Amino acid sequence: MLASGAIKRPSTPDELISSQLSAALDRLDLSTRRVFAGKLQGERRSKTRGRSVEFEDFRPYVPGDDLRHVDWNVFARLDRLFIKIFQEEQDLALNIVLDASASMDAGNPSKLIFAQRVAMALGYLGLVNNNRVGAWIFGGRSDNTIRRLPPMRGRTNVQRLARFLLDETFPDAPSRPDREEQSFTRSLRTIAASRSTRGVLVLITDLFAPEGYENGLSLLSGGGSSSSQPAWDVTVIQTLSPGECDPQHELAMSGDRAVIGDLRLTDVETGRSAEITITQELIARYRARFDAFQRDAATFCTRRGIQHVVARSDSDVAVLLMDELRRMGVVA
Amino acid sequence: MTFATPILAAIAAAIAIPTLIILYFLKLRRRDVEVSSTLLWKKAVQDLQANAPFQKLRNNILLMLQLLALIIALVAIAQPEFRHRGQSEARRIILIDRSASMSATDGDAPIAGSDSAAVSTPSSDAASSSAPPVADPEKKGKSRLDAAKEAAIKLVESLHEPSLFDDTAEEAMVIAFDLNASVIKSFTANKADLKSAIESIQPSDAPTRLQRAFDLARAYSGAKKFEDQVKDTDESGKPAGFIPAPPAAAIHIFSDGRIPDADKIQTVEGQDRVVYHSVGAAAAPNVGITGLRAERAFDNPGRVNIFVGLQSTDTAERSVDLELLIDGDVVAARSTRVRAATQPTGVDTAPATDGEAVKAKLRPGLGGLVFGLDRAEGGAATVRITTSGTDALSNDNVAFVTIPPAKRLAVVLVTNGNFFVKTALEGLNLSKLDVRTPDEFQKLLDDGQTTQYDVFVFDRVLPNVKINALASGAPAATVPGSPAAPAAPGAPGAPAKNPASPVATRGPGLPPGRSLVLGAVPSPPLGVTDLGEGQGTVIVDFARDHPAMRLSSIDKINISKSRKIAIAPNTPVKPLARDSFGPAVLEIADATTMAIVIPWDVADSDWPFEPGWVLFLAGSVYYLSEAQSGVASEGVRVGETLSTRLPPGAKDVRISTPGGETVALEAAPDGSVSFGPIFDRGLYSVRWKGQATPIDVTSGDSATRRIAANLLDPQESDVGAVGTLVMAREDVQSQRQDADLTRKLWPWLLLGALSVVMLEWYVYNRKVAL
Repeated sequence: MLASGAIKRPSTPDELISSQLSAALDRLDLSTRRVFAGKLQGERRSKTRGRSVEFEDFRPYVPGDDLRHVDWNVFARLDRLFIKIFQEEQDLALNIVLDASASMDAGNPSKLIFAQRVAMALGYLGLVNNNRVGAWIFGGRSDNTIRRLPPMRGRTNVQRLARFLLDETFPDAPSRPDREEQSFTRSLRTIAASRSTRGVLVLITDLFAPEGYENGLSLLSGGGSSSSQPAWDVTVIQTLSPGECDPQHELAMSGDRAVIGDLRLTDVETGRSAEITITQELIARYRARFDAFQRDAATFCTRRGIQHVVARSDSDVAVLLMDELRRMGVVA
Repeated sequence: MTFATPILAAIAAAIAIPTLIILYFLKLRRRDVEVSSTLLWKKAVQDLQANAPFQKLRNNILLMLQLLALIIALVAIAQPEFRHRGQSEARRIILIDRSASMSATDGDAPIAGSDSAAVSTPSSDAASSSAPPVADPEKKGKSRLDAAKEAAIKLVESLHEPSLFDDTAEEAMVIAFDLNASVIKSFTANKADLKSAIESIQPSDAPTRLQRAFDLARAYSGAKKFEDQVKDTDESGKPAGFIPAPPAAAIHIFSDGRIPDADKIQTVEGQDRVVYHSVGAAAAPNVGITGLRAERAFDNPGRVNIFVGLQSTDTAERSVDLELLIDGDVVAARSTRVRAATQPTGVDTAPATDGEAVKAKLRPGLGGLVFGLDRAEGGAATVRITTSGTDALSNDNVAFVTIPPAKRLAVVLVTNGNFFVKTALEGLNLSKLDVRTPDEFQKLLDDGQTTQYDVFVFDRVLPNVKINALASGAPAATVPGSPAAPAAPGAPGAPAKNPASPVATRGPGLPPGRSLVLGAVPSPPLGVTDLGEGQGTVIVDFARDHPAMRLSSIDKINISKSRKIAIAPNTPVKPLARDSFGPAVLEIADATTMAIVIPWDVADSDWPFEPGWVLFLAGSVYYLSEAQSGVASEGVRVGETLSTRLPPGAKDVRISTPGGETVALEAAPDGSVSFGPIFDRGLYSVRWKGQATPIDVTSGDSATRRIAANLLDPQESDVGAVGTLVMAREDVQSQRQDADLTRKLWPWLLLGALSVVMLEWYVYNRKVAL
């Protein structure tokens, strides 16, 4: 819940993803509930039939077909030319969108660092499995720019991804300039408009958008068959700090006396302050409100076909990927 | 519990409490905390606010503690006082001064004891109006006694009565005092009785003495512990210690503080609790007669001089008109000036405390006047001040004196020949001076013919008289070789007519009557023992005010052969002068005899060459002759008991008071009668049937003696009230309210508020709020 303040931030790729984690991730691959058409031949079955080992069907030869695909055994037996149809394996487009707004740069442990590591792990997973991995980072900058890492493939780009995440995630100024209204929605609208291929989009955010997360997520999940734009398989990894889930628990754990009595709570995102007197009753009310918020978010995501995963910033990234995401089919 | 300043506290509370609550709403003490989103918190707060408008204040122990501290501080501003009902306050003794000065009519004046009231610096042209709080007696306001009674009634009304939860009641008793003290009402909790007792106190013309009243009060206060209380043992035989005495009573004195003997009263710390309530103004201009005496000249008994002493407490010089009345008729009127009251030198005029203010009190201005008139016969003289003007006290404007009839004395000198004494006595204007040898006088004495002489002068001899140890009033002193005799029958005042009485011994002694003894010592039964001849000496001390010694110059003489004398205690002998070995001049006064005794031979000193010798002889003779009446011409002072000795055989004795009341008196065997104590000044007449003395007025077979009763007290005429009663061990400040009875609670409240603030700080740091 609290602003993270002076927390040591990762500065090298090794701090983003440990060797043990990367070794564990080597056995995994990205998964998607849908089968998308990739641009390049990859390791993923795509809707495009073509050159792969996965036989799908036969069809009569028509002039112009590649003679390499004629099934000569059938021609010998039946004396008719049939073309073998294979399901072509294509690469998967993985789009990682990282919410680096001020609200993410809070909590103990830092939600943003946690999110950074999740992004790195997912990106690593994508890259080592020869998928196209692109990344967006929005928020946290005085000029409200959205930083983009163009899609790339191959293990060789792991360092590039890591450097992008390290360089572009954190705020560029110590003061919190990111106080523009509607930043969340506007950023997601920009990202949604720029999609050119189908693929998987993983949004790592806390969903604490002053204007609400609904519009932004609707834009991301839109498109598909009813739209001219290709549809994304969207997964939201909602990152929360322990204090946000349970303020009293955080107090008991940390011994911090800050959230006590009469406080002026300042929203780091908007700079607005709320003056409250914290009592047991108020904390109970907060908990009820928080539960309702989470419930609403899960319902909203389900309705929009978005996978919603809640990850506490004090949890293990490896457990998240190999347990949570695997169970949800994001990782296979 | 009462509040001294409740309005102030209410105003402060009306400002401070809402301010604190508003400050809480304004949240001045909030700490800034940054959170990722206030969204959920705001919603939670909105949920709470929807439930209760003062939700923020609820369950906030910090606010509650701060409110508590504030309320305690506000109550402290109201200065609550708790009336402390200590045990010592369960009983009170109210002493009300009813002396002459309490009749001063400045009872409405502000209380004495404020600094401005204590001292007024006199100026040369000071009009009395320029002095600070000066009572205006012309208004004839209420008297000091009335004011004292009102204050005492207020005290009575403040006594605690039994209530539903506390059945203890405070008791009080009332004592009125002037020269004497009397219990007006014993201890009671009945306020009506106490009030009516206080109301019944009437003013007197007597001077003030506190000692008797204080002793009386102390007897009732229960402060003393008796020995038998200590000796009590418990069941095991061990001393049980003191039986708890009843709580000592507080003594409340209502007076103007003009109490001459206050500084002699010893208070016991922890037992006597004295509270002084002062009445009257500190500066009260008053002119009064403080001295009056009628004397006939030695050389011309037909000439009467009446000396009038005046005293003024006015800060300006006053012109005073006096009238002299003889037997009711004005015979002279004179005017004189009385000096202004002055600041005593060497005293700071700006006293820092009340105690110094008492010392710095104005010294009254004095004046005097002598009325001279030729009047051979006796009479009753009245002197009164007729001047109108500011005068706080009217009681001291009139004084009375009896003028003895002109009488030339008959004196017998019993001597073997003494040039000095004979020559000196011949110089006095006596009607008769007989010189007798001891044998001749002894014969006259034995024949009962000495009554023709007013005074006997014995020169180095004493007649043989019946020595009666009991009749002399002496204790068990005996004449060596002669056993003490039982009381002689018959009137002791009569000359001894039966020298052969088997129960009486004879020896050199004083015959009944007035004697001046030179160079001889009476027998021991009178309490005087001759220890033999002493060495040369000088007089170290003598009674300068005694009429016989006044002009004697005895302190200037040298004695070559003194006489060692011992005086037994509790005998009617008092020394008038002392040399370096002991008593040098004695006065002996018992029922039948009156004598001035010089034990040593005057011829062995250089006294006969001093003029004082003649004056001593004259003073002694006249003193002894006047003392026959038992009352000097000054009369008695109001408050004292009037007592005089009538000639033996006086019958049907009656006394008439100035108020016209006549009371029958019974004369004692020696002829003395007593009446009183008397409360009114004026002329008292004692009338009887029988013999008369030279100072009495006779008509037929009855004689009348007039005795003047006067105030004549400079202390009472100096009417300025005193703010601090200076007692032997403590100075008691005057107070309107009994401040010691109330315990001020505000310091405790402030302490409590501080404690609550500290608790709040502790709670704040221990986050008990959650």
